[in-house]
Amino acid sequence: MVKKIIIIINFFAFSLFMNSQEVSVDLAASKQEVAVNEDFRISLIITSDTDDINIDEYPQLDQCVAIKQYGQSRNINMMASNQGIQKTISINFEYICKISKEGKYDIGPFVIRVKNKKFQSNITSINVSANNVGNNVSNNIKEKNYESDKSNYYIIKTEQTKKEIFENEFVDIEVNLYCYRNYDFRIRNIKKLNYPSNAWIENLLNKNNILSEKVIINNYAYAKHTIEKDRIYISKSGEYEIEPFEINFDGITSNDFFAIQDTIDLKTKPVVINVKPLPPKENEHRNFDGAVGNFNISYSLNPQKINPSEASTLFISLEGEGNFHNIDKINFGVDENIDIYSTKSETKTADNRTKIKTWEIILVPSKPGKYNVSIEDFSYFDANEKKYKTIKGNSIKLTVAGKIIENNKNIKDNSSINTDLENKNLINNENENKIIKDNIVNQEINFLKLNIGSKNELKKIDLLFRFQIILYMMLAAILILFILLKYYNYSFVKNGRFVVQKKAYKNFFTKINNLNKDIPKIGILKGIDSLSNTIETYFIHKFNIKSIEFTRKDIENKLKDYLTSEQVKTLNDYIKQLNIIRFGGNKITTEEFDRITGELKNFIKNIDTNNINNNHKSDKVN
Amino acid sequence: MKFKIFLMLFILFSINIINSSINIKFNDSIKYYNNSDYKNALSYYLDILKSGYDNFEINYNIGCCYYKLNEIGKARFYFERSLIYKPFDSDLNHNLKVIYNKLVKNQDNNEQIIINSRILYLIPINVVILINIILSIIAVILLTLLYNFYSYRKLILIFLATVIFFILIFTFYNIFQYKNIKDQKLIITKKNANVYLTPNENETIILTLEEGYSNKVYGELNYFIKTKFNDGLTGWIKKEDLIYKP
Repeated sequence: MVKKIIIIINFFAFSLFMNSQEVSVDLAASKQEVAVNEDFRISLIITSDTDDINIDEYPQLDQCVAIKQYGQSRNINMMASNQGIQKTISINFEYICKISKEGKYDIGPFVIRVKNKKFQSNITSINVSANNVGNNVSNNIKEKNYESDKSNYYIIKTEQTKKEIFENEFVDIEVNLYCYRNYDFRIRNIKKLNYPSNAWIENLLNKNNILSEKVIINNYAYAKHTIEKDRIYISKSGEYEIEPFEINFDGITSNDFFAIQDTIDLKTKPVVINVKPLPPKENEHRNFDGAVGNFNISYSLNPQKINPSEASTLFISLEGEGNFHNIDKINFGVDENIDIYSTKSETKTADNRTKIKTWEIILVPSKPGKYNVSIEDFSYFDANEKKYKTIKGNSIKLTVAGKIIENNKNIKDNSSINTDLENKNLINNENENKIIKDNIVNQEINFLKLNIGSKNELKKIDLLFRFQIILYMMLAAILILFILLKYYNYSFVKNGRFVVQKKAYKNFFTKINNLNKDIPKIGILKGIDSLSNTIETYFIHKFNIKSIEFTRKDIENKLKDYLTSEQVKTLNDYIKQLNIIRFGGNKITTEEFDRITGELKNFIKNIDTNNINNNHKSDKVN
Repeated sequence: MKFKIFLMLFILFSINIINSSINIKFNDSIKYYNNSDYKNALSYYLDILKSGYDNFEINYNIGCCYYKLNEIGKARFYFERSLIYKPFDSDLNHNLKVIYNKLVKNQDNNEQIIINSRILYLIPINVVILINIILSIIAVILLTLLYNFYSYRKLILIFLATVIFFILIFTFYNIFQYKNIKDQKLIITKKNANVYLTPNENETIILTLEEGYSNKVYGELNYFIKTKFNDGLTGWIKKEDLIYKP
């Protein structure tokens, strides 16, 4: 019973607590201490159970305090209880502020209206010091060995590992662009450092090592971007002033509240390098051949037991930091019975600093015996310790067993032709034994050609080629002409027939009209002859038939497919009438001639019209 | 008439004199070469080359002289030039192998040059051109026949199509050959030749090439020749460091 009462009391207490949740209004600043003109944030967080929230009054602020709202977020929490679902809404108003004068400033209070009730936020205090980044960074950097833009948002600086070096000693030079608060920049144009002509330059900045890191300059964070990084070796002593690095880029320039992008030109200070001559070498370093740096040598011979005329490869590796480009060879000595056939060298970069240069030398002994392959001392100047050093040489044993092979004599004879074997270059390792043998046998080139040959072979080829092109053009022209002719011929024959057929009535009509005009001149009889021919021509053209004789039989045979039996009969009557006039001596007057031609015109017109309507007949003919 | 005959005889005589003087030079140069006076032999051969004898024999002999004078880059240039004319000449192939052994890093690549030339000039270029000309004439005749003997048109068309097919094949083959001849090649003749970024001696050196390196010529400006590398990089080499056919 007691337990039940306690549970009920607790339940009521919790409900009471849930119902009595008040509106809370908190004001907080991201920084309590800022520099003049430094941006900082203010958050106004209102927690209640309703959405009905309004800011009634903004705080009265000093003139040098700029404030602007830049965001608002809302968070809703739901909680289930015996009284239903309880909702808590918290709204966060974000402001960005900037104060342009040093001093202590109070920000707040904000007056908030929630469900017609007013609530007030707390007041937050901000201390503003004169320790400004935006305008006065330079005042706080002790050594000004850089160049920057007006607002000091971007700083450019060259950094070199050494200012004083020895001849052929390397110095690393890098150009860094520092961007305040990692402000963005977009490079438009770059003028790189202009090194002297006697400098050997190695670019240390590649795609894999583009550097971008955060650095603190006088307590302010800058992002460092390395835009040029070189290792240079200068071979002659003297003082060198390297022309500055210039960059043109788009970046943030404005001192105002809102940043504006503009083009910025920056230029580094010139790089000065003093190159000292190497100190005189002592006798024990007589092998010194210009190597400056720090080196280590390793070597091996593989295989160490071979037969005469077989090859053994001597590997020499030089590792370290220094002027590898000046080191052509590591001296070594072999017995006169050993021929040196090819030298292959390769330089690899282990990291951006250490290098390994490897030589592969193929040795071919001609006689059996025990030989020593001696690697000579290697001297170099250690610039860090400022003294010459010598790596002691060593010798490797090479045992040549077995008998001398038969062609050994030839090998020696032929190989003696070329005495400067060290100049021999690089053969394929995979087939080295085979190639060596070829090489030994084929040391000398074959003799001259004893015929003078023909003159102007190239010109002949050129002429022939041009002739060929002309021929092709002609061939193409003939081909085109052929195709065109074929098409034209086909088209002409086909179209010609069609045109004649189509114009048959028109021609007939024109001829009859002309005949009517000419009849007084030519006379009736000639007129009848012409009329007969005109009718004949009409039928030949109209129906594409070879010829027609105006006899009853011929007319019926040849025109039965094109004319109706009635038309054939009428035509026969007209022909008969004309024949009577021509051959029967029946004289007619001009008026009667005109009447006959008029009737014939109507008759032919009738045939032509019917024929157009029943065109299928002419299609049959085609 | 007499004057004309005299003029013709004079011209013939002059030509004969010129030819015989070149023949004498040729024979003398062989003597010089035999006596190990390679410089004189070379100067004679170069003179003969200038007089228009740009053929296999002269290029080959010039290559031999340069080899003897230990100018391997130039020797390679003239031997490879000879390949155009006679790719199957055994002496030439032997000499090229010797040169490649002396010069170049990758032996297999250079063997490939000889193989490529053999394939490209398997049929000599003038023979290919002659074949093309004959085929073209046959094509014209077939077209005429096609026009006049229309009843045999199917048979003639089959022949015509075959002839045109072969014309196309031989033409492409011929174009490749001609392009190869016309391609300008450079060969480095200095032990180490610098490649500059621009045609200016004071400009950045981007590469250093060894003697005997071969590449195409892509242009020239003043004292520099432009070339391109496999990775698309363009560089300029001083003319004095290389040999090329202008």
